[in-house]
Amino acid sequence: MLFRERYEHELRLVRGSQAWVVAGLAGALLLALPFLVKGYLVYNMTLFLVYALVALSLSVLVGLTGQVSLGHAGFLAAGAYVFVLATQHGLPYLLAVLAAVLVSAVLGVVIGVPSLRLEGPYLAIATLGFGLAVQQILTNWRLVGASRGTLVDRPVILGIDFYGDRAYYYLVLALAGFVTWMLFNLERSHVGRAFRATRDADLAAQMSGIGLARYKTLAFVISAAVAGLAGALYGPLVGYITPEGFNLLLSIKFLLMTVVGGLGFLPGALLGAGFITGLDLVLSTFRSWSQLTFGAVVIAVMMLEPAGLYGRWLKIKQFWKSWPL
Amino acid sequence: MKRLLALITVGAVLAFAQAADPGVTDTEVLLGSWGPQSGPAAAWGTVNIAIDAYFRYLNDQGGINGRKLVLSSRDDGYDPARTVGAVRELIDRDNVFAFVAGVGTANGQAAMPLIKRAGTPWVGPATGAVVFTEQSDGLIFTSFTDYVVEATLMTRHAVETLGSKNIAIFYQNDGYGEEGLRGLEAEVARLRAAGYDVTIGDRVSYERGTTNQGVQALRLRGSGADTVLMFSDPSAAATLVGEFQRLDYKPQMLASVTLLDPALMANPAMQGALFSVFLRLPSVIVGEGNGDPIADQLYRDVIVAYAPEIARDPFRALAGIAFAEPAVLALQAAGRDLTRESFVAALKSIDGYDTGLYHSLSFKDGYQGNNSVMLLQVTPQGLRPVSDWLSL
Amino acid sequence: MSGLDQLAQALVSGASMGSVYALVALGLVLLYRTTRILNFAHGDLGVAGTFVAYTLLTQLRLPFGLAFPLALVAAAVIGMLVYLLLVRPAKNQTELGLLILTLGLALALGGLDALVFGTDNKLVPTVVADRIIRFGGVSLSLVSIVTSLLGVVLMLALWALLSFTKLGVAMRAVAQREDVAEAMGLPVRTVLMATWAAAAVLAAAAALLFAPTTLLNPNMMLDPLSKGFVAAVIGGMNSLPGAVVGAYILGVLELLVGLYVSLEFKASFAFLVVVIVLVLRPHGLLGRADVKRV
Repeated sequence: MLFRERYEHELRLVRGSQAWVVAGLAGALLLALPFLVKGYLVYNMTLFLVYALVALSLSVLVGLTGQVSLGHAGFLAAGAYVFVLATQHGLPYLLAVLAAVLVSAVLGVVIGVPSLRLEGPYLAIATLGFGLAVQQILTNWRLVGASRGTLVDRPVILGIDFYGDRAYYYLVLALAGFVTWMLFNLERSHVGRAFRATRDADLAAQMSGIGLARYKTLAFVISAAVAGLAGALYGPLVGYITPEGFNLLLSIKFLLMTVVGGLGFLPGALLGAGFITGLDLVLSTFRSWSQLTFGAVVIAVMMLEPAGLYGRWLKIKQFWKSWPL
Repeated sequence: MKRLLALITVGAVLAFAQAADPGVTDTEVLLGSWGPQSGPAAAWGTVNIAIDAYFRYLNDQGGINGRKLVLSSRDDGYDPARTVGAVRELIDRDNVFAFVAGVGTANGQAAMPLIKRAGTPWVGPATGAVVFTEQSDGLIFTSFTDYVVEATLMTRHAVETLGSKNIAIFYQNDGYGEEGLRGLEAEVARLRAAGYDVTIGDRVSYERGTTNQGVQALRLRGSGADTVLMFSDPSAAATLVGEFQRLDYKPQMLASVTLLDPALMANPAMQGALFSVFLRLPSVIVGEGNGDPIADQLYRDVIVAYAPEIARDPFRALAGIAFAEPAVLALQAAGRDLTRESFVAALKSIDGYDTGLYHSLSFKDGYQGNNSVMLLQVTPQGLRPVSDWLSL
Repeated sequence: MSGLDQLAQALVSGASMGSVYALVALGLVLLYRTTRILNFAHGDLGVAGTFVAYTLLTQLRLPFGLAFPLALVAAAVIGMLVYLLLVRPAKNQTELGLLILTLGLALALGGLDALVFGTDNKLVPTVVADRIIRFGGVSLSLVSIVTSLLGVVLMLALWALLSFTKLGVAMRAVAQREDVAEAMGLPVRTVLMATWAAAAVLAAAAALLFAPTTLLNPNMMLDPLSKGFVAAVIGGMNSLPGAVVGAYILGVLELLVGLYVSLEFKASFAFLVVVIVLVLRPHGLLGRADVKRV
């Protein structure tokens, strides 16, 4: 199915038999992976899943509604720290995760509402400031270890210990998989179309009865909540969190994932997260050349492929499908 | 089929019986490390380059007990999440025998549980944070004079020898700076109890990476302090003393070892400042002809010969060698039958070793092998010692 | 010293930092209003120019009066090359795509600096031998006066360029409507190249004036760059006078907050100011909204 010809096509989550095969293979691979590779790769895969959530959350915000954010490490930090505080106060795991998501969502409102009137560079700098402010507040907040950071334990849920790499991987995979599925559904729903309408022509969207303020804020809230969830998963994964870890560089990396992967496509965010996490892993033995190489790769992607990695994938797919036309 | 299975089992048992600890073969010992080689903290990656150079130098001299030293080092970009990944990889895939150096307090904290769980010894964390000595668990051996002790000794010298009455501190708002503050506060309290007339003028912090120190300088001058302790990074210190000069404020400055940077010391505003040091220093830092012969030899034969690209950063380069020194000593002492057990035992038996970069290195009484500093003053002729080796 | 003297001193120190922010912000705004690119490589372009100057000063022992202009020329060339080799041929010409391109460029340039010049700190000599000048209870350093003056001269030069030269008028035309400018026969490519060169010169000038007050290393401009962004946003991304106003407001406010409110939250406060300004005026103090057609 090369083109979407009917409204039902538009509504489908997985389009066409080949897509089913790809999705099935990817799912099977993700499930089998911990038994195929060594522990450190399981760790890196889990980190990829966490970063993929952040990249997805940014993709909803930047890709679907066109609001740029250079402060998503701030939401990640908020999620991670709320999770730690909640578990320290004896909240069970899932409630602690929920608390992290809720607090981040509230922060999303706090940032989203003043951002309604902002666009482009103004919004970029305002969100950048949000990220820095979160970092500074945490650095001076004694309750959560201030600049020394704090240790985070892996959870025990209903007597099941998730300390091991595989166990924790499956926990993250389950939660990340569920949220990814929700976001893919959201994109196809009327909300997703409203998001895209505000991005492409906000005045026209408003004329068509889409409440700009409502949808723009909603995008911020969803994005912040998902990033907060990623934060709650990030803490126990790394085992130790410190304010300096949630810096501007990390926020920039998340934006890189989203754009390099392919802006406006949710699968692109997944590709981008995998690409950047993998690039970091490969470059860790490049010594003094690593930063230059990283920058050069990013430049190359932006210069060669306007729609990012996912765009390239779509083109390759189109080429084979329509071959030899 | 049964016979085949039995054969495999026997073979496996035999192989297991022969296998030494991870990372040791007949010809090699594999050691792991991490440090930032990209991003804003990349300057500290020099430590890992220096250790690699030191190992190649030792290998060209014939290695240690017939084995070559190999360093497997990872760039973590100063991001704890990547440190964990790197340490996992070094343990799971590369099977390192032990860790040496490892840059960064936060990064080390993130790595510590993994290293302990794997039972891997870790020698010479490249940070002066107290936590690594306190939570050594018999596996971590530190030799970076800790920041609290450093600040304590600097304060004591200022009050007892220089007669300081009012000491202020300029510190980075993180674990490093706060430990300096802790040392200052405890020591001033002790000195007051001992009858000295001394107060803390002001506690002035700055956020890592910010470059405008105008307020900090104004507050320090406003406190009327005659002595300022500096626990910052070199760039912040350079900006601060520039502001001091503009304000015509001339306190006695005492700088932490992290500030030992040739470019900072060349700043005319740093004339007369005291620097604390826990290593022997080469001529390239203290001025031609004043260097310690051991440090001069290592700088020339290891850094200049094997890693000329880091020769412009002599302190971090030599510090890298210093962090690896205890490990090399212990590998030598453990002999040909190298296991982690014999390696740790050899580390614990190091006692009063004084022909290396440290004044004196001992793990007999604890896991902090070196906890002394010397104070040197910036003069037009270079750095001049103004104290003996000091310790608590 | 009295509280009033302290206040006066804070104003003076803040203003001298403000002139560095102003130069950074001017470069950012100049490029943004002509090309719509939020240039995250701006700081690294400046650092690259400063490394050139450092090499000329210390290796070739050129006098400052010669090294400074040569470094600016080098920066202009780097700026033009960035435009010709990276920005123009890039297939992703969206605002965000170009922003990401400059992020990649920032990382690559920083990595290149580290590779070529090392990650160690370097001491950059000052323009003039420093002297302290007292003015009532306030003391000024000769270097910071010269720095501020050089900054003002550069700002005036930029103003003259934009107002009185054909190139300046062309830049303004391209800034308004690139397609119309092209249709009217303006050499848009040359104009854009010149804009990149001018922005890079401003970046290098800011870095060169800032370097002697701290230590030169590949990350030197990280903080001034983010402050420059803040200043530009406060003033309005498409207003050059706004950039200067925003920079001085920020420089002075930072000191006042640090002195009288809180040292720990000095930097966060800068962003709080941004948010307040933006909530009241979404396009900055002196910026104007783009007219959108549906």
